[in-house]
Amino acid sequence: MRSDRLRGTTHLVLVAMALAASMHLLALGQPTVPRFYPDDPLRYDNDRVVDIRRVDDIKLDDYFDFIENVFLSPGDRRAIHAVNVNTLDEVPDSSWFTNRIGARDLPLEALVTGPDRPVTFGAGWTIVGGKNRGFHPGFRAIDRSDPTGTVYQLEVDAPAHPEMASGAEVIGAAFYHAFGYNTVDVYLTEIDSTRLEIDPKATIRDANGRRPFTRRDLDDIVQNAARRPNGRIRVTAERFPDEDDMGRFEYHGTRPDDPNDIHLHEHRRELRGSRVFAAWLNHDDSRALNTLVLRHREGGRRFFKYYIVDFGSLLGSATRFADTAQAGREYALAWRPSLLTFLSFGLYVRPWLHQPPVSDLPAVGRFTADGFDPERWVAEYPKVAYENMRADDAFWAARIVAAFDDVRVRAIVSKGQYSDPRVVDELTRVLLARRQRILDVWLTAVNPITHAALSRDGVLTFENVAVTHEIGGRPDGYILQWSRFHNEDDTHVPIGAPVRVTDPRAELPATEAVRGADYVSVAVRTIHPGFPDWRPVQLYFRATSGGWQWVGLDRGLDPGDAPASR
Amino acid sequence: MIVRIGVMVGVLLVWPGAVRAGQSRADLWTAQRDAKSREARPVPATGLEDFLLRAAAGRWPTRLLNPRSGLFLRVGLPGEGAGLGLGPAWRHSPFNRRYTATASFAASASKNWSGQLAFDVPDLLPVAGSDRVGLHLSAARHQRARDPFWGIGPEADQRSVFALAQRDVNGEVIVRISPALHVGLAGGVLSSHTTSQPGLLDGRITHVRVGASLSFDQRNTLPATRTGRHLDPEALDGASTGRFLRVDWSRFSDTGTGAFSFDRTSVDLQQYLPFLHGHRVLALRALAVLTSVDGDAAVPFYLMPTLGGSRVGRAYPTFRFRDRHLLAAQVEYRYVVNPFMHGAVFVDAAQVAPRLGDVTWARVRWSTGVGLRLGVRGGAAFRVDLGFGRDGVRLATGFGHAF
Repeated sequence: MRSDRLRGTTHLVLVAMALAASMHLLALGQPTVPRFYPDDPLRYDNDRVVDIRRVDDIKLDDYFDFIENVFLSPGDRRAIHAVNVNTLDEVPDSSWFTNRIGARDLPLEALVTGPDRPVTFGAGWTIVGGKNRGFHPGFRAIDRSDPTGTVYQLEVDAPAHPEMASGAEVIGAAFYHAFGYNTVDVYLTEIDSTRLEIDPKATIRDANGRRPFTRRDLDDIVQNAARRPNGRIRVTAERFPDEDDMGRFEYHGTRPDDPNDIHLHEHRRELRGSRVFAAWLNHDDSRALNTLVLRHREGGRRFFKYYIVDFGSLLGSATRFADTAQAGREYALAWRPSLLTFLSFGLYVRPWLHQPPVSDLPAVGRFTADGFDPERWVAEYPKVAYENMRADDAFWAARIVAAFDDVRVRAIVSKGQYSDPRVVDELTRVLLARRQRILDVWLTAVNPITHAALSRDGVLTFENVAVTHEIGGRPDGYILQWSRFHNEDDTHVPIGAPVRVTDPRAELPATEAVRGADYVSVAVRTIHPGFPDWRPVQLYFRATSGGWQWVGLDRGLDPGDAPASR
Repeated sequence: MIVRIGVMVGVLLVWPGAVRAGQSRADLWTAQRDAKSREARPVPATGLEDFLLRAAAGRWPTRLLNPRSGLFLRVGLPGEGAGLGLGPAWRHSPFNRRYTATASFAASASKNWSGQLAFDVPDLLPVAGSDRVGLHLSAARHQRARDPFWGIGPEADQRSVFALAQRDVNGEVIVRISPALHVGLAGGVLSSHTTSQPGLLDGRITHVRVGASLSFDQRNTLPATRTGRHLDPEALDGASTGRFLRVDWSRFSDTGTGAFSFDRTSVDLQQYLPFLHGHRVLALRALAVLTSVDGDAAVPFYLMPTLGGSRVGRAYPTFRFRDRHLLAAQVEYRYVVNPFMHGAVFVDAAQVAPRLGDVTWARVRWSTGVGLRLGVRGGAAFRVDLGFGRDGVRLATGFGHAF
C-alpha cells in the first residue's frame, strides 16, 4: 500500500517535472542555463587536469605577430563577458594567474621579493652561450660559485642610460608577479668583465649558423655596457627555466597542443585586464614576444604554465634607449595620423609630440604622467585581448592597481637599486600619479560595488570601491531591490518594493518569500549624480547550513557593450 | 512508464547547461578539456608565418645581404650615377673576426658595372692598439659605359656621353682617437681610361693617390658594437641630432706626364637640429670640394666635383654640372610619418666654378623638392625625391639619405 502510494507519488512528481521542463523549454525556445553550479564561485580553475604528453615548441615569429595583429583581424572580437571569470566576476587561480595583492594577505617583503629565490651571486661567471635573440645585449652564463650550475641570462644597460633597463626589468617582474601573473625570477648583480670566462663549448648563432662564442663577442657586449664607477658592470640575471620551454602564447586563440587551454585568450579576464597594468607601467612592449610557456611536472602530471616575461622595456625604458614620445600614446602604425602628417609635410603635430622631454635622470628615461590617459593608452601594436577589454575587465584590474599604496609602490621601485635616490622618487611619483588616473577612470567605469556579504541574520553589507579609494565623491545612496532567485531557470521574483539606503548596509526583508529560498538576490543601484549611467549590480546569495554564501555578482553589462577602449 | 519518464527527465536535465546531479562547473570545464585532449595536437605554422619563422631562424635577411662569411648579394654601386647595382659577393671572416675579407661584384641595369675586392681588418693591432687602429684594403674595377657629359662649367649645356674604365687599389689606416674622432691615412693607385666623344679627354691616366682625413662624428646614430661598425654598418640609420665634420685631403699624382696632377680637398659639415622629440629634424649641410693644380696641370674632367644627381642638386640630372670646385649648401626638413616612413622637404643650393672667385649668387643652382624615405630608426633604406629646378622636374631615387 505504502509502496503503491509512493509509486503513484513518484509518477506525479516525474510527470510534473517533465511537463514543467518541457513547458519551460517550449516557452523559452531553448534550454535553461542555471546561473550557479554547486562549486560556484570557483576559486581555482584546475587547468592541470589533463596530462600533456604530445607537445610542440610553438614558435611565434615576431614579424608575423606584428603583421597578423596590424593587418589581419585575428581572434574573436565580440564584446562578450570574460569567459574565465567565476560567478563573483573574479579570476580563479589557474596556470595563468594566481590572485595575490588585493585578494590575499601579501606582506611587503613578499611583494618586493616577487618570484625571486634566495640567491647570492659570486664574482666569477662562465659564459655558456650567446643571447640569440632580442635587442638587449647579453649572454648566458653560470655563476662559478653555484654548485647547481643554474644558467642565467645576463643583460647589460646602455652606457647612455645606466640602470634604466635593468631597473625596469626587476621592477616589472615584481609588479607583474604581485598582480598575479607568472613571471620568471630576475636579479640585479654586478660582474667584473675581467673575471668572465668563456666555456669552450659556448656557442652563439649568427647568419652563418651556430659557431663558438668568442672573446670578441664578449668584448662587443661589455664595451657597450654602462659601467659603475668601480669599473664593474651592473647586469640583470634572469634564471633560465629548468622546465621545458614550449615557446610563447598569443593574445588570442588557444594553444592547440594544450588541452587544458580552453578559454579563448582574447576573452580571458587577466589578459584583457592586463592592458590596465601595461598602461600603468607603460609596458608598451607587452606582446606575444614577451611571453613564455613552460611545461611543468607535478606529481607525475605535466601541464603548461603561462608566463609574462621581459620587462626591460617598461616605465621610461626602451632597453637601449629612453622610450619614445609615441610609446603608449599611438600604435606604431596609425594610418590616419600618418596620412595627415605626410600630407601636411609634418605641420600636423600629433598631440603626444608635446610631451615633456626625456628625464634628466638617465635611469628614468621617458616616463611621465603628463597627458597619461588610461583609456587611450595603447601598446606598440594592437592585441585582440586588449581591444576586447570591457569596463568590467578594467574595473577588475583597477582594483588590483588600487591595492598598491604609496609604500608598496616605493618598495617595489626601490628594488631597482638605483644609485641616485632621485630616480626612486621620480618613478614613484609618476607611478602614483598614473595610478590615480587609472583609479579615476576605471574604478568609476562601472557601478563599483563588490565584496558583498549577507549575514546569517540577514544583514547585507557591500563595498563601494570608489568610496574606499575616495574616487568621484560619495554617492547619494543606494536603491536595493530584493528578489527570490530561482537558479534552475535563472529567474527573479521580487520581494517587496525597492528600498533606499545611504550606506552600503541593509537588511534582508523577513518575509515568507525568503524563508526556504535556496537563493536570494539584491539589485544595487548606486545613486550618484556624477555617474547616472551606472547600471545596477546584482548580488546573489545561496542558502547554506551556515547562513548565506555570497555566490554571484553581475554588473549588468550586456553582450555587445562596447569595449572600454576609445 | 517510470523508466520512460525518468529517461525523459534525465535527458532534459543533462541538456547542455542544465545542472546534473553532482555536476559542477569544474566538471563542465574538465569535460571540455577532455574533449580537447582528444584533438589537441601541435599545429605547424604555414604560409607566411612558416616563411617568416624560417627566415628568422635562418637569419635570411642578414645571410642574404650581410653575412659574416660566405656568398651573399651585394646591393648598390659606389659613386653617383652608377644606377641600381646588384651582384654576387663573397666574404670570409673567422669566428674572432680579426679580419674580414670581402670580394664583391656588382653590375647595374644602366650599362655600368663595378667590381670590388675589399679586405678589411677592423682591428689591425688588437692588443697593442686597444682596438684603435683599423685597416681597409680594396681593389676595384669600374666600367661605366655611358656616363653623361654636359660640359664643364656652371653654364654648360652640351649633352654627350663618355665611357670610363677605372681600376682602383686603395689602402687606408684609421686611428680611432676617441669614439667621435678618427684620423685616417690613405694611399692608392687609380688608373682611368676614357673613351669619349671628340673633343674630350681620351686615353689612360694613372694617378698615385695619398691622402689624409679627419672626421669628427657626434651624430646620434646607434651606439653600434665594433662588430656593427665593421660588419653590420648601420648605414641606413639617420641622425636626428649632433654634428659631423669631415675634412679629406688627397694628392693625385699623374704618373705619366704630370699634366693631370692635382690636389683635392673636401670639407663636409653637417648639423642636425631636432625638435618635437626628434620627430622633426632640420638637417643642414655645407659641402666644399676644392681642387688645385700645379702650374699648367689640369684636373681630369671625370675626377672633377659634380652637381646633380641623387645627393647634391637633386633637381638636376646626374653629373649635370662639373668643374674644379663645388660649393653646396643643403637644408632638409625631415619629418617622421611613422616608424617606418619619413617625409622630407629640401632645398639644395649648389654651384660649380672654375675658380672660387667666380662663384656668384646668380649661378647658384637651386633644387627644391619633397621626398619620401622608407626605413626604420630614421634611416632611409629607400629614398625617393621629387626635385624642382631650372631644368624642370626630376625624380631621384637612392639608398640612404642624401647626406
